[in-house]
Amino acid sequence: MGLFNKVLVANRGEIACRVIGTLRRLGIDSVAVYHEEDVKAPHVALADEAVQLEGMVPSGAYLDSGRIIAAAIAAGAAAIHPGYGFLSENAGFAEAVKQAGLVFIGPDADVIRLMGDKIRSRDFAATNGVPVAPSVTEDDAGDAFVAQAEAIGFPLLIKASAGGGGKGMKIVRNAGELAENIALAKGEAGRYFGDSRVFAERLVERPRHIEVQVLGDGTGNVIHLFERECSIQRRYQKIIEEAPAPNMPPELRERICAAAVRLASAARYLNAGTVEFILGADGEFYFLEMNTRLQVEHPVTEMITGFDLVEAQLRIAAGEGLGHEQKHIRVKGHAIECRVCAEEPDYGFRPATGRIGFLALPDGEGVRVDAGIVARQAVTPAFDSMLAKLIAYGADRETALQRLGEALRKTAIMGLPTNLDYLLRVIRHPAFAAGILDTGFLERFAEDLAMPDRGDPTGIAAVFAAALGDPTFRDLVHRVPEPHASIGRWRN
Amino acid sequence: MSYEIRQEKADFHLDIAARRPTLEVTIAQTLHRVEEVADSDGRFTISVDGRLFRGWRLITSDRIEIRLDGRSFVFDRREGVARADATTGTGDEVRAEMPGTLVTRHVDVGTQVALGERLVTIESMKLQVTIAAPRAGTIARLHIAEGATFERGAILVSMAPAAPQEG
Repeated sequence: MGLFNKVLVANRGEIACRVIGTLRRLGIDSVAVYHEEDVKAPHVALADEAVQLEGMVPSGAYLDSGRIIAAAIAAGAAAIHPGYGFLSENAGFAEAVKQAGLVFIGPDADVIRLMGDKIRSRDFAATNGVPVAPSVTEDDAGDAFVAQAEAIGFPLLIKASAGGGGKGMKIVRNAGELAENIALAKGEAGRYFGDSRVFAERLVERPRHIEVQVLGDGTGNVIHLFERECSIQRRYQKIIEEAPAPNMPPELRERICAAAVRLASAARYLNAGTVEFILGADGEFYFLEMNTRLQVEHPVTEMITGFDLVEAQLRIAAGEGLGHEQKHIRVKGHAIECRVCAEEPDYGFRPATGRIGFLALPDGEGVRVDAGIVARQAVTPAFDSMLAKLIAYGADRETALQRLGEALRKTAIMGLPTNLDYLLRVIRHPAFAAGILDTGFLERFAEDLAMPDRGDPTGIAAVFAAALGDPTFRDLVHRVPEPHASIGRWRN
Repeated sequence: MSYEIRQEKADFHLDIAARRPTLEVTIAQTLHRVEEVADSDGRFTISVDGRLFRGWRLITSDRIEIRLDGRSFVFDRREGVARADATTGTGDEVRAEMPGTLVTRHVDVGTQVALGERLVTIESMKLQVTIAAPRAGTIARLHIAEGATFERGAILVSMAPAAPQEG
């Protein structure tokens, strides 16, 4: 069975462009789909064919599984690549694609469903020997609740079963405070939610977000492509990711990767997926969730392993199997990615919109840019605020970091606010350079990462650059204002 | 001559101290020597106090955006105001902000002038500027003869004290 002749890409933006790039390299025809608003978008221009999707709202078009499948059939595509987001983790879509006689490039619908369910996937992980954060609920434990909570170990987090937003939440650091805090939490929970039930779980302090890239053939054979560190997050969303994770003891790396493989193998996982973990400062790690698709941050894994993950996805989907043995997969070098977003970090990361008036993207040794934007393009609230990803590779982390800094400096996206300045401030922070990361990083160092003073030489140079771009100032410098010139007595 | 440009959270007041041979501009009491080296396709290169700065510049109808050394600066263009008044004064005295030569007297002692009416034309830094009346009133004294030079801060014109307003 050979690779597909034609593949429809059910996505937009940088990921659609990135998938089309691999299709092109492999000699596979590509079909793009687009909403009217995206008619000039790069993924439309890049694909061999493009089909417009009718839809009331732009984002709705890319979620219209019926029209997308019909477009694939009409175009003669054999398979659909969902990218990430949109329909990528929609089990109904995966099923419908299969029923239409096409190949869904991703896992089977039942595995998507299993991993999409927080409670079922957690139970599945625990059953298969993958660590989950120890917890006990009052409902299950009854009178033994305090004793069982104590048995989990400290620090403990007591949370309201019905609640959220920190109400009824207590951190307990030793057994002596436990009974009292449970009583306090129950009181608060009762007052806020009318339901005083609480549960206790292990508190992970200074948690790191570590995830493992896996590839499965659907029969239980699974390989991993090592881990990624994605601890730099704002509003629970990643903005900087890297591979391998810095300061990761080899033995711990081995255990985390093995746990991910165990989970995917037990699920008879097909295609590419990512198992996410929380790693505590004490070296304990717990299953968070599994993403049954290609991740935004997959390029860092590609750069350190030499894999093209989209190609691997296509080959697995076409029945060619994994094509690689674990023992031959090695990490070489280090890669760091940052997500360039239309947002204002100095104003609570509020999303921004506008038109890209000027665009300059970097190049250079070890630098990769995955972008789906062009100059003059409007950035509207209809879609995700991510504009591009800058990825830098180096023989070591220091080199990758230095190249990423250069890449950020060589990038200009003007006409709307972006987080470019902020990203540079983050990667230049001493704690980031030291690789001491956890998900609280951006909040802890918020003061260091605030907009710097603008009265420094660069700030002053910017004022002059702006003034010299303003005809009013240029007139003052170069010309004589009209009323005086007309007097006719001006001499040079 | 002065020019103002507004940046988010900060206003910059630029005073042009010299235009040739090198542009010299004061910002926040510091004199800077500025040279524009090149400008093409959104790229600019300028020299400030002997240091070269290369970046990108986007000029739109209401903003000027600068991207320089990995930092972004946005200026509000509508606030970019030039003031070619070249003088300071309390209202009773009109003083020169820069040294120069008096070119023309437009009024005589005793002339009644309206606010903004031409008083004298001076030449500073090879630029002729007409000085306007800071208020309505009567000219009390003209301190500089036509063709004579004056120093920075010199009184050019004195106006008679304003009469108390009635009513």
